[in-house]
Amino acid sequence: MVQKIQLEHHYDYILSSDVSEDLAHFKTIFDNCIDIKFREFVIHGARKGALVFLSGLVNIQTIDFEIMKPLVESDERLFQDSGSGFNDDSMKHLIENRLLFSSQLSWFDEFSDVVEHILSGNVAFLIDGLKQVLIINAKHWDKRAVDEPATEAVIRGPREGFQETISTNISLIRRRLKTPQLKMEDMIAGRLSNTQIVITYLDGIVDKKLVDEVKKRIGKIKIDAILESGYVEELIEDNSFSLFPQVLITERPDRVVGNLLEGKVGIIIDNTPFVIIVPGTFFQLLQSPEDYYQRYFIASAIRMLRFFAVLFSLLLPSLYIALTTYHQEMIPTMLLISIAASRETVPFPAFIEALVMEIAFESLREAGVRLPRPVGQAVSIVGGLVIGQAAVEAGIVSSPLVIVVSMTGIASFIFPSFQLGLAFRLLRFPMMVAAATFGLYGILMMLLLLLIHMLRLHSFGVPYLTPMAPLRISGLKDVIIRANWPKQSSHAEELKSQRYHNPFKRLRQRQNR
Amino acid sequence: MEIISRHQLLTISIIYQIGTTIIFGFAAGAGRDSWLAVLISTFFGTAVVWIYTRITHFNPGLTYIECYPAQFGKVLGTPIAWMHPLLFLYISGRIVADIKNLVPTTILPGTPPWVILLFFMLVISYGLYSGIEVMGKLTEIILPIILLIYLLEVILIFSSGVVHFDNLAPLLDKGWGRIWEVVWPLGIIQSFGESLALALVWTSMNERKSVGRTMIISSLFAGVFISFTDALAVSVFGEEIFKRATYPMYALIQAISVSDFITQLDATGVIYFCFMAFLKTYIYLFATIRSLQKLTYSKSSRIYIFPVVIIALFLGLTMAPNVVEHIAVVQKVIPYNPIYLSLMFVFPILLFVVSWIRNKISTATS
Amino acid sequence: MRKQLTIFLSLSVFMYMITGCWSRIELNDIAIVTAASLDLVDDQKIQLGVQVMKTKMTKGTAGKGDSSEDTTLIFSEQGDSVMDAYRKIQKKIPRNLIFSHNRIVIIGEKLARSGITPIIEFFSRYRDVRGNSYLLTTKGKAYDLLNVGPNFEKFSAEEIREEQKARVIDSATIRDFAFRLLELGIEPITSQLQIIPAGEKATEPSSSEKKNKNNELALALVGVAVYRKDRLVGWMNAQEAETLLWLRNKMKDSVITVMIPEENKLFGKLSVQLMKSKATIKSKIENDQVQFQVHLEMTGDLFENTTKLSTNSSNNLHTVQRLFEDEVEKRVRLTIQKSKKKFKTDIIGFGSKVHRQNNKVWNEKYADRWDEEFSNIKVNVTTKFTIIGTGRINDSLIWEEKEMKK
Repeated sequence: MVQKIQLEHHYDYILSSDVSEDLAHFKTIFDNCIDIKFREFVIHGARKGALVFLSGLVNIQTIDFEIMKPLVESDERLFQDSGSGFNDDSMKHLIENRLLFSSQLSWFDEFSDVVEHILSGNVAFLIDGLKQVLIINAKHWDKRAVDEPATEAVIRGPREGFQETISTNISLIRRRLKTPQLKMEDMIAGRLSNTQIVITYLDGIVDKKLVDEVKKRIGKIKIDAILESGYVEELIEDNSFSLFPQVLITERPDRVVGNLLEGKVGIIIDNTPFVIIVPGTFFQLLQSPEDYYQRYFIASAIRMLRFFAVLFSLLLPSLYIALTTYHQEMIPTMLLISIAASRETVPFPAFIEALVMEIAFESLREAGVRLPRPVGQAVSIVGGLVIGQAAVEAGIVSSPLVIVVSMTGIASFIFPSFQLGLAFRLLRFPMMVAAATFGLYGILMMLLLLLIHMLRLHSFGVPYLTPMAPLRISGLKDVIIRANWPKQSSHAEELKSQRYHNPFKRLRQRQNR
Repeated sequence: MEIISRHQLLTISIIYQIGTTIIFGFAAGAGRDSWLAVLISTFFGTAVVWIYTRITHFNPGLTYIECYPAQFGKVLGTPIAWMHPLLFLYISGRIVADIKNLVPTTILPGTPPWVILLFFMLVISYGLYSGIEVMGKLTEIILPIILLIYLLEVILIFSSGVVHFDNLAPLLDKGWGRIWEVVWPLGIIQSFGESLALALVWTSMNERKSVGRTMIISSLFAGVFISFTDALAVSVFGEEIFKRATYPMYALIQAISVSDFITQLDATGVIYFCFMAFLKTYIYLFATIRSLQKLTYSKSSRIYIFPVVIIALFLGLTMAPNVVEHIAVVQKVIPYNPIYLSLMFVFPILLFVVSWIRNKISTATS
Repeated sequence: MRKQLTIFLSLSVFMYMITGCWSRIELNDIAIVTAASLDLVDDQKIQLGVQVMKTKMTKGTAGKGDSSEDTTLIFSEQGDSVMDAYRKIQKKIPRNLIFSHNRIVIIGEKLARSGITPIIEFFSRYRDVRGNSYLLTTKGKAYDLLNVGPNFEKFSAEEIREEQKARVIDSATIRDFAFRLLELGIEPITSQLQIIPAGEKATEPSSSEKKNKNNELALALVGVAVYRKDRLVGWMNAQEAETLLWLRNKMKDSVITVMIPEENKLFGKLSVQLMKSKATIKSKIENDQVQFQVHLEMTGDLFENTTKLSTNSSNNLHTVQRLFEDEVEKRVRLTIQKSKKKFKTDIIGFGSKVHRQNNKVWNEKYADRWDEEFSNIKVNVTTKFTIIGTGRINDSLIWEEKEMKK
């Protein structure tokens, strides 16, 4: 921050036609940057030239053989031929057409632009006599191979996941949508990080207002650095005072494409494999891309299962507390006797018992994430078993509760969206408090609070619980169940009903045809 | 201005009209003919609701209570209009008292009522802050769930083998006398006359033309729903117990017993009731706040939320020391109160006639 | 908005802090009542006995529970009212009695004869109690029955409930009883529960592998107790109780046996299992006198035939059917006769039939004095019996043997 202010006046520098002068300025800007390389040379004794680049981000071979070599070895006559008519334009023409074997070339006037390009891994080529600087793309750095996404594994479906390089990520999307309708717009955010952000959408399907809104919100971002998509998510979401994720985060290109086809906007951020999709709705967070790859009966059944999982992970411990401490009459007699028998030696109230077990479970889970992968899984599973088993044997915890806690745990892993799962994990605790205080009445009131809160949420103008509320029967076909393709809405219908508040319908069948 | 859709209005009205009736019973005085009494009440009640909708139809752009000053003149209309928020507030106090009586006696014995009510009112005030649109969406989600659970309960009751439809016979055993007794005025006021509070919601609807139709559909639906529940309760308990039960529908859920496993779901019945009471209180308080806002020409309604909620809480806590008195007042005193009757029937009908004539004249001249 | 929410959230948290858990009862602090007995003792006091689950002993899954131990505990106390006695028991034990899982309520004869309205009243009003419990009456003291241990289930009350649900004889839950008590033209009944020696227990096969210390005694449903209003007036035996089930269309399954007397050369016994039984009772007003037409339609499978009658021919089958028709008619007549003449109480509900079918006449003439009129009513019984199956063989084996000897 401080540095940037100090360097501010240097950015105002206007490029001259003198290479040495320009170079001096670059050297002031890039003072103490050992990774910046300056290479001065003479093009056949005729002109002075210089290359400025970041050593770690460029392909040295390209620079050596495709930039330096042709320039240095170029025929003297080239410059003489032009004779007296030798001006800037013909010089540019000469370099572009005769000398450099690079497909990505562009000329820049602004000093600050040049600096930015150098920092993002391009090579700046300064030539004596020309005010403009040629930027040559020779980006190359070590990157991870395209790998299977770790957080969104599927059984059936592509195994490709995004990785940290934005150009690769863009290519992964483009490969799936070979149409000029797919637009990619470039933005920069982060005062120091200058992170590249690409907004992608399908022209003709997306609502233009949505794209403008996204651009407006990203434009408003004022932060020093963007290290992960989470920064952007928090800065552009409608209501940050909420547990619920209001954007969809995914590692899967096929999922991004699927959502683009529904008229959503993707935000690809450099240096992170997570792509943000807006607007995000609750029910979409409960869907897995695999739902569309499996047979629709099975996918529908799995969706129903997920709804139960949502209810389970939210309510199971609190229902246990409410039923055992307030509404014993609701438990079938024989079951009640069994539960009572196993609780006989437990010294804690049911609430404390459940709370302790839930916290223990959550700690185990968190520990499992932090530990090295081979150890982690073992610790979380074995730890859970041992703690549960030993605690029950010792009579500190009742075995029905262990069953409840583990079922809750399993249910909370069914969430396709990890972020949503986290929200429900946390919400479980206030629920338990309410159940311990007011029984079922408390649960009802908490549920009402929660529902009202969720209904208040909007994501980019779209109600969070759409299409359940406000109700859109046709939308339900893709929420509660996964209807087969032909029954889902056609493209024509979609265009007709395309409104800002009503944009989401499945459109993928168009792709299928 | 918040906007609710036609479907949302429908769900709000259905839940509102079924409302607390579902637990306290409806027309129990008519014994085994109560279902018939409900149907008759529904018929007349729907007509009353239709009149209400017509009034707002003749006065486009105005909320129901603004119609009084507009049609009767400021001097005569304003006092009448001012009586409405007070009435709404009073009834919401009644519903809060319902909660106070039912919840501690059934599922939370020993918990002080004020704590239960405080929690209740907290949730309501959050709802009031969120506005009617959120409430519309809430009912949209919850009504299907309620109907589904209700259907499940009906199936469970049937499979418990306690339903004996012969208990409904003989029809009109004691003649029409006791039917009319419950139909007028209680039957028409309960559920249907009370829809007056919904009139303040209608202005928030996006297609105001279909308000009338929506309200008629919801009134009929609610009527049939209650009628069916009454018939079911009578066929399970027989006339005499049905008449004696404080909470017949609550007892109905108690009767469920399927293969010894699903038994005694009465707590869920109370939960049902709490939600119904929640929405009803919400609508009354919303109507109160909206009326106050319109009558005092304030821009924001939010300043009224806190005082109104506090008053309703206070009313609920102090009103009706016991359930017997509470139900007696609700069923025997309030319906015959002249202020109540005139606000529900006399004034609306006058207003309807006046608006209709004015409307005729204005269309004739133009 | 954020500020409001913060205030709101902190308020809710604060509320939790100040609220305790007033109505909370931990499972460690409850005593589940499975059966209750009520007796009238001296000084018009009511003795309440409760059978409570001993949860510790039922920890059967771990194998620690000793099966020879009692699984239930019995407490008893006397008081001026049910509530009074209940409070006294509550003071004696450290746990909260919960009645919501109560299976049966047994009433002693003495109390039953003096009127059980107070009991019904308590069990209908008290928050915790459910109307689903079965009401039973016993000759003698009800409290003694609680002490009899179970043979199959974890506790004896569950066994009774199972038997009641099998509907071998007419039964009544508290809700049914209250309904019949209040309804005009039908009088309540309950099942009769008695202690009998286990060996003679008719309704269950004797268990050999399960050793119980109370093995020599068992509980059995032996008939029904007949009430006029809330007072016990007499008993009916098991066969009559079964007939009541037919008449009230509540039969699940039952067996009828007829005998062909020795004079007849076809001498022997025939048994059918009833599959379906439908009784229709129609009331008719003739000459200011109410008349009833009772018609029973039954179908059944023939499962036992020790007579020489071949069941292979349809003619014989008709004879058999007529035999059963006569038997059923005889039983129904006897039962109705008994309720009419001996008890003068309308337990079948003829009155309510009049009410439903001729409600004008009922309201004018009978509503207030049905009790007196009932013993004078005329009842006409007709029956129709159809045998639909003859079991796995279509002819009697006995008959064939005789044939071969000849």
